[in-house]
Amino acid sequence: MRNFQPWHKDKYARLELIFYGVVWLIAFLLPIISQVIDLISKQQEGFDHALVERRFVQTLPFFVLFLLNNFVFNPLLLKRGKFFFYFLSTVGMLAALWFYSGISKFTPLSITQGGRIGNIIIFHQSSYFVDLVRVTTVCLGLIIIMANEMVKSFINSMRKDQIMLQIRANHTQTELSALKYQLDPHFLMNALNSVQALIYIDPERASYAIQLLSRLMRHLLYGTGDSTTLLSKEIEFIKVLIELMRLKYSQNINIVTSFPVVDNSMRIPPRLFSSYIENAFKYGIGDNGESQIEISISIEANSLHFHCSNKIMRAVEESPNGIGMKNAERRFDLLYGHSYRLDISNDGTHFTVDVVIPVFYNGADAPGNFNF
Amino acid sequence: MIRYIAVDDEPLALDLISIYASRIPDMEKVAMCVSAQQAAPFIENGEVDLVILDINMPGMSGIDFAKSFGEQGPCVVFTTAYPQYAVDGFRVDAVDYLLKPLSFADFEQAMGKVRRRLMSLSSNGASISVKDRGAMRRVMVDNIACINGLREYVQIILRDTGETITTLESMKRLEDLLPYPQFIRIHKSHIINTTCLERADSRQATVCGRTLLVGEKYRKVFTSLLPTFFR
Repeated sequence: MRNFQPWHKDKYARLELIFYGVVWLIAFLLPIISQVIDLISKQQEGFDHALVERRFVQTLPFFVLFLLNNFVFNPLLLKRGKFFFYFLSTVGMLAALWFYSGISKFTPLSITQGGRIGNIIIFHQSSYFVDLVRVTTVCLGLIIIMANEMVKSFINSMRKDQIMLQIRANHTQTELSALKYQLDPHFLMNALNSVQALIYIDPERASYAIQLLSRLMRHLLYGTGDSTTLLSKEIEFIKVLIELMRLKYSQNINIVTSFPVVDNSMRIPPRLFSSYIENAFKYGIGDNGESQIEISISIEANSLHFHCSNKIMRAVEESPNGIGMKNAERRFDLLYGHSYRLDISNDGTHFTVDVVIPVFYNGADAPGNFNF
Repeated sequence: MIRYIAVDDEPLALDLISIYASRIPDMEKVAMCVSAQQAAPFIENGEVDLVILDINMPGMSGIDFAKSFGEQGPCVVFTTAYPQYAVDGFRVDAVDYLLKPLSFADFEQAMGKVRRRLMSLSSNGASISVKDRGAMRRVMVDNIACINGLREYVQIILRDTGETITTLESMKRLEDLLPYPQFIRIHKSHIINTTCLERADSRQATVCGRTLLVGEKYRKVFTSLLPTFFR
C-alpha cells in the first residue's frame, strides 16, 4: 500500500523512524556501555579506546547497509515493484560487505557484541577463520535487511488495520445517517392537501394545522445535525406528529398518550420512534369501528420505555414491517448493539411495539459518536 | 353531468375534491369512499363516469383498483402525493394525474380532459332500444340528433333521415342513459347531441336545423361547456 502522507504527518512513519533510531543508538552505544560497566565492576583497567573504535568500525557497515536499504533501495526499487533490481542491489550490498569484512580492523573480533568472546578468538587468524567471519557478516547483513523489511510490513499492516477500522466506523456513521427517520415527503404533501381542504371548511383549524406543520418542519430542518437531541424536544415532536395525524383523520379515534416530564439533561437519538407512530395511524384507523391508539414514553432509572399499540383496523399489507420500521430496527442495532430491547407483537387484533433503550445524559458519551 | 365518485383514505382529501367539484357546474357527486372496497359497487353497476382515485391507500392501491375496471370502466383521474407513480398511472389509461396538494386550476383542467375522453369514448356503436308504435326499435346513439320532451312522451329526432320517433320514456332516464357530454340536457324538454351542434350561444342552440331554447336552469353548464363543443 502506498502512503502519500509526508512522514511527519503519518504517526506510523514516525513510529518506524523512532524505532530504528533507538535500535541503532543502542547498537552504537553498546560497546561504550559495556566498557563503562566493566570499569565500574573493576574488571578492566582504563578505557579501551581501540576496542570501542573497532566496534564502531564493525557496526558502521551494517548501519550504512540499513540506511541504503531503508531510504534508497526500498522506496526506489521494492515499493515500485522493481523486484529484480532490488534483488541485484541487495546482492551488491552484501558483496560490498563481503569485501569490507576482509579488511584488518574488521576481522579480529566477533561481530556480535561483547568484548570477551572477541578476546578469545583473536588468536586465530587463519584464512578459514576470515572466511567464516565474512560469511557471518554477510548473513548478519541479510538478517538486517530482512528485519528492516519485516518492521516495515508490520508497521504497514498496523496502518492498514487502523484505516480499515476508520473505514468501518465511517461506514457505520454513514449507515446511521441514512437510516435516520426522514419524514416521508408524501406525508408532508398529504398534510398540505388536508390544510388546503381545511382552508375552505374551517379556516381556524387550517391555521392551527399550519402552526403544527411549521413546528414539525422546524424540528426536522434545524434539529437533525446532532447525533442526539433533548428528550423534551423529542417528546414535543411526537406530540406534533400525533396532532397532525389526528387532524388528517377526522374519524372516531381514541388516542391515549402519556409522556413523562423530563428535565433538560436527558438525550436520545432523534426520531427513533416516528415510524412506529406513523405505522400505528396507518393501520390503526379504519372505515368503521372505533380506533384505539396508545402511545406512551416512560423513564425508569436509566432506561426509556416507548410503548405504542393500535387496534388493527386495516389489513396489513404484504410487508407487515414497513421499510421505516426495518430501518428503525437496524438503527437500534447500530446504536445500542445488544443493550436495547425491541418487542413487536401482533395478536391479530392489536399491534404492539415496545422499545427499551438506555438514556444518555448531557456530557455523557452518546451513541453514534465515533472519535478517532 | 359528469357523475363521479372520489376514493381517498383521508376524509379531508375527499372534502377538498368535493369542494372543487362543486365549483364545476356539470359535476354530479355520486359518493365519497374511503376505500377501494367501498367504491367497487358503484363501478360494477356502471353508475359513474369518473373515479377520482388516490393511489396510496392501505388495503388496495389506487393503481390496482383501476386495473380491475376493465374496458368499459369509467374514466380515472389519480390524485397522489407521489410523482413517481405517474408512469404506472398512465399505463392503466388514466385521464390525468393530479399531485397533492391539489390546485383548483389543475383539477378544472383535468375535468376538461375527462369531458373530451368521455366524448371520444361515448358513442362508438352504442345503441338504445325504444318502443316505436308497439314494436321495439334499435336506435344508434350517434344517429340521435336531439330529444324533445312532450309530457310523458318523448320525441327522438334522427340525424340521417330527420325522422321522429315518439315513445313513452322519461327525459331523466334518457339523460342518464345517453353518454355525457355527447348528449346534454339544455332545457326541461330538450336533450341535444352536441356533435350535431351547428350554432349555439347562451340562449339557444341549433341542432340539425332546429333551433332550441336553452333553459335557465341548464344555461350555466351549457355555456361553460360551449368551448368543449366547438373546439
